[in-house]
Amino acid sequence: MSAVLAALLLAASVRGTVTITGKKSEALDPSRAVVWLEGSTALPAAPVKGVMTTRSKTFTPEVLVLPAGSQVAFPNEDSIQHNAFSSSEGNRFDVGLYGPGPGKDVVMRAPGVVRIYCNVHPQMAAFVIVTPTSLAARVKPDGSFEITGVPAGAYELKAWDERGGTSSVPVEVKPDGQPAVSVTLDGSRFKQRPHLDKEGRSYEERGTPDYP
Amino acid sequence: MTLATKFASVATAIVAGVVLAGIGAVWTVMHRMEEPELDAAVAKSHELARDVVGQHLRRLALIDTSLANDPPFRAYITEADALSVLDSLRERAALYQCDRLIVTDRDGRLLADTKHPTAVGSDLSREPLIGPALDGGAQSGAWLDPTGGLFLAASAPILQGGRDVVGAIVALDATDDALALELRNAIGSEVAFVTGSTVSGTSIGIATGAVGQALGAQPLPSRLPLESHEYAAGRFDLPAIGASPAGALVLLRSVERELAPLRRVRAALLIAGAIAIALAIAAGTALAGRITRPIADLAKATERIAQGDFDVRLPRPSADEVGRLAAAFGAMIVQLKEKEAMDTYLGGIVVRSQAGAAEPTWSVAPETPPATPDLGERFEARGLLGRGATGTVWRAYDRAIAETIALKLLPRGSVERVGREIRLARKISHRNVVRIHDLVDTPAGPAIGMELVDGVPLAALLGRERLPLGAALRIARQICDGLAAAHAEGVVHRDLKPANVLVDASGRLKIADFGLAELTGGGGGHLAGTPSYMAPEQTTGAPVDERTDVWAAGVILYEMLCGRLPFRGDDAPRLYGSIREDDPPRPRSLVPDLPEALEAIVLRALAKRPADRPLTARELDEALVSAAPSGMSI
Repeated sequence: MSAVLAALLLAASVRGTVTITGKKSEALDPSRAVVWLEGSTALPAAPVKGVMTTRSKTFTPEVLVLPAGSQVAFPNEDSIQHNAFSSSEGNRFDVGLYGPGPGKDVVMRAPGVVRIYCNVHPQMAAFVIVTPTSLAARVKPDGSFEITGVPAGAYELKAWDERGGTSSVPVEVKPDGQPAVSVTLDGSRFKQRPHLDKEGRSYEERGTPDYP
Repeated sequence: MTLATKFASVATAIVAGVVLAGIGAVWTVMHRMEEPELDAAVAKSHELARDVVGQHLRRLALIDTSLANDPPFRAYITEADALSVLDSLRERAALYQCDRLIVTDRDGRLLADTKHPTAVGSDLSREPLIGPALDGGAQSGAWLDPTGGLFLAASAPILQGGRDVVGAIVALDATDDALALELRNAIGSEVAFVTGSTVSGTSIGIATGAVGQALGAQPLPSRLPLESHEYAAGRFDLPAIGASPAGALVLLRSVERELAPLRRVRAALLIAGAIAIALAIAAGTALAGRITRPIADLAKATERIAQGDFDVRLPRPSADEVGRLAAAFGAMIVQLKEKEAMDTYLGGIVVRSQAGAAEPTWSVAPETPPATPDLGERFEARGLLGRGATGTVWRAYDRAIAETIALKLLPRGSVERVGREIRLARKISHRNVVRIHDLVDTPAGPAIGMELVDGVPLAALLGRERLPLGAALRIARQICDGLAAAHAEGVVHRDLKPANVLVDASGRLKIADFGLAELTGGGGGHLAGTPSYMAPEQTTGAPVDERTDVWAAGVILYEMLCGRLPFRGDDAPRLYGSIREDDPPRPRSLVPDLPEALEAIVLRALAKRPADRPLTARELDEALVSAAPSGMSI
């Protein structure tokens, strides 16, 4: 306990900026990017309860950052039935069709990017970023971020964005602070592709006569 | 109308006729092509429209399938989640741009209808579109919804687990203006959707009023005038669902556009025809002008010549017929000029002779004028014309024919001798022979009524001077003409001499006293004729014939050309001897510039033996013509 406390007392913040560059080296909107720390000091993650609401045929929020082991609820605020599923490795789930109401909870066990879709509505997509620790943060619209409560030590700062993928930068966290970190993600090669339904088929294809 | 105008008109008329006939034929053929062309266009449109409508229905069926096979959607149906179903239908309708989607549950009760979101629960199981789908069969075609809207529709069962029907889905497209336009763009025809006589959509944008009525007319006329446009029209049933077709497709092809190529060709044809005719007129006029200008010039020249103006310029001679005509005409004018000059000359001499002579105009032996004879009731003497060996000739008025004639009094008792000859001579009717009218009896004795010639005897001309060559030949030819006419009637003059050859003021010549030779000396075995002009055979009393007259003509010709008689003698016996024996002095020895050919003819006519002379007067005439100096007209 005292060790934890000591760590907390000794904790510092990691600040920095994330830049996502587009095809023409322009800066893309960084507000859906996520940063987290992975590091030497094994600092157990504290599971939390997240909520991903279905509203107006949209998953809200679009991006959710949670430490591994956290629970995500999928309440449905629409009047029609929705679905939420993920085929992402380590976190496969399918909550089935569900009507208006609090919906089901899903535990995100494995760290990584969990892509969540609705099997009814192809336009609905969201990301849950499951981090190994609680040392994570969403990037603000201006590209800045701050991860607080970081004990001193050596870390890898990882940054992720749908378009730019994952990138990591080593960070030495000291009790008396350290310089801001700057991470650049290359989003120039990103291409939006239609995702598949939970059967692994394209949504358009499943209307074809040979669809089972 | 000038010849050029005629030529041009005829040429133009022919070309125009041919061109117009050609155009007419093609025009008719093309006109006949119009109706089948339009009908074919409508039929072709129908084929295309059937294909496109078929494609449309297949697309609707595909929308059905895509939804019916969608697992979450099927789950909505099985759960009868009307809201979710409706939402999905709306999404798909938007995605596939389909006007309307309807879903029923397994009993045919309406679960969702994108057009009527609140109408849920009504029973559609009896609809020909829904019922069969609930039994597992897909349907497609035109569908009239319960509110009267005409749709293209495709229905399909929604199967669970591949067998169980859990509902039916219908994809529909309204037969509205938008669909009509889409169809029009695909097939290139104006289109209207019609239910009975109600128009639900058109590509021409007007489905109401008169246009709507016209489009909904049954039966539909094959030619439809709409809004100042004429259309070829056809009405075709849309594919039916169930027994009877719910609607029809009216296809319209713009007559103007459809026939535009034909009409362009026709217009081009007309323009080409007009150009051809214009060219024909221009070319015809130009060509006719060129061809006929020499003729027109010739005509003008002729008119001027007819008015007595010989000083005309003729068209330039060319190788064609007109050129030859012009050349011939030119030669003719030269001859006419000479002839006119000659006649003027002759007439002049005659007029001078008449003026210089006292009444009577001539006489063989001047004597005191005889008393005016009593010519009886029919004739009235009006002056002495002449006096000869055989008697006097009077100008006499013939009351019987109310005409002044010449009346020759004959010695009493002479009619018996000459009557036959005179009657023969009466038959001679020729411009160069004094016409004998009649042999009459008058108180003064027998008389011959004759044509009155207002002229002088050739003798009166010869006494003065040698005649110019042209005048001499003109006279000689007329003598030949007169003789030929007489000879043709079998009459030989036998006493031809300048005294009985009369020339009038216009130069025309007439031979008198045919048939009277007997009176002056008798024919046959007697000596007859005037000594100087007697032929050798006459001096011996040998038989005479035409050639005797040819001799006399030869003597006259000699006298005219040379200014003297060919034979002379102090008395008759010597003269006869000379005539029989002597060669006359060669004319060229007297008149050196006389053409040799002419000299030869004169000498031939004066051949001692009749057989050596030209056989007839006609032959002599022809010889004269060919002997005349070139260019001289005689």
